Amino acid sequence: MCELQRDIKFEDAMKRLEEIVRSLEDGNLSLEEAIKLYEEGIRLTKICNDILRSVEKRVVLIEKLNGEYIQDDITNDIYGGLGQKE
Amino acid sequence: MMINNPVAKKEWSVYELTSYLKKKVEMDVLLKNIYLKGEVIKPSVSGEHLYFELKDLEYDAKIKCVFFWFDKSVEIKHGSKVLVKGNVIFYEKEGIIELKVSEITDIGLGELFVKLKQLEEKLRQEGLFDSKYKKEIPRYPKKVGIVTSKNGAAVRDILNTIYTRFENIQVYIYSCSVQGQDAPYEICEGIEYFNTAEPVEVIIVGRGGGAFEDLMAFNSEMVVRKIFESKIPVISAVGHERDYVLSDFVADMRAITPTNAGEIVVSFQNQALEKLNEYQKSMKGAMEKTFNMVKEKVRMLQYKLNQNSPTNTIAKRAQDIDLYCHKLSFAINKKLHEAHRNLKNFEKRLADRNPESRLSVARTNFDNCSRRLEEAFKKVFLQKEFAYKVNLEKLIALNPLNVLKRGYSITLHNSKILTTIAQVNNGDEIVTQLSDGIIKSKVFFKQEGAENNV
Repeated sequence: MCELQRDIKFEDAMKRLEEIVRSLEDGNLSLEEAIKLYEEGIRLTKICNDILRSVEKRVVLIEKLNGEYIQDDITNDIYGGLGQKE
Repeated sequence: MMINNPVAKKEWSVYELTSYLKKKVEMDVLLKNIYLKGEVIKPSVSGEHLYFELKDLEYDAKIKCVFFWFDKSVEIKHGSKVLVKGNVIFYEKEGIIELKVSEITDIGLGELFVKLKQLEEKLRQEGLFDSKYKKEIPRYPKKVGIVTSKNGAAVRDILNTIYTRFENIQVYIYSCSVQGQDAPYEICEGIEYFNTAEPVEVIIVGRGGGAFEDLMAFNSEMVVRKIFESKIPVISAVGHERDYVLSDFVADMRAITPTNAGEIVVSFQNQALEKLNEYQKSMKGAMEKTFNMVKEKVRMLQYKLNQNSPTNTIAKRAQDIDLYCHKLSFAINKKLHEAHRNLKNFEKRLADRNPESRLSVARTNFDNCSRRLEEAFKKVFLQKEFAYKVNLEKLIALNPLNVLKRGYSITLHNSKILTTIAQVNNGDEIVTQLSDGIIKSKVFFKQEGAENNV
């Protein structure tokens, strides 16, 4: 399930989540159905969260110096790396 | 090297200096009714007056201007090229120079503007601005490229906007000039860099606000074409909302400001995070509700089951029986009570009709009657007795026997006393009663008349 579900597109997952929430809120489900849907919903939530949080904050400054591109990770010092002058 | 000025004062007060400068400025005839060409910066209207700065068209130089009771027919916008007429005045209190404007003329954008319009038309004809070529901006980009100056306000605005809303994102800043001669080349290099060396999901190309010519790099044909060719979607974010450049037309999306570009890039992810939280809460809530409903159902069924359990049934039956017994005894009691009451009633009625009383009345009557009877009887008896005694005495007195003793007798025939001779015939035997016995005789003679002829 996980590998298969991992390939799900974020947007599709969100859409499916919306459906699940609506179905659950309608309250016309048997307990088994509700539990099944809830489990799917929790899985999807986790997947979406993982997708959204799959990347850590990172700020990289690229400058061309003497024909070379220099990358400088300034994540922890954004405003040191970025001059304040106009 | 300082020039020693013998007339110079040792020490000035600020006011002395500003007053001196005011005089200097206002006495200078060169500064009267001058004409100035420049670009209007940040015009603002306060009441009837117009305040703005006039910027040099070539160099980095500005002067504050005020147009009292300004002519409202001339539309003055930020970036307008104007010719103003006025006097230079010095405000001694603030220590500032200002141009007191008396006339203002919009001289338009001139040649530059015309060239730009022509370029725009050409590119439009080529279809560079057609919406069919617009690529969709990814809603959830995790890696964003920015082509701008590392020293500008734009990059800070974009980063602030992104990271105050959403943390999990990578930003690659390609630092380049955004104005001046090299700017178009460097901007193109930046776009190229992200299309080749460091792929990102979306590129923001832009800079903060500035004068019209400061934004010219983003009007350059090469930058417009580079944006058009980019495989990666491009958001153009140049200056303020009112600043339109050709990059805006060709880009896949125009952000009204760099801050807005940051919003565009993270708004969906931010919303998605909020939505996810909301969904989680909703699902939990709905689940709890479902569980509670089921619990309630189970509770109800349990209750019903208990209600219908044999123990309960028996208890209920026992209760019913008790109830019926109660009802029955109540009914019986009622009946009994009624019968009792009736009995009492009848008894009372019977008692009311008791013959005893009538009997006693009758007895009394009877007693009375018998007493009266007795008395009457006695009376009668006494009367009778008296009469009898009288009669007896009379009888005794009248006893024939006594008469007989005096010589009389009684003659009988067939036990009948003879009072007449006709009662007998000759030959009949007759009996004569005397006082001491009888004589039987036969009639042999009869004669009427009582004379003693015998």
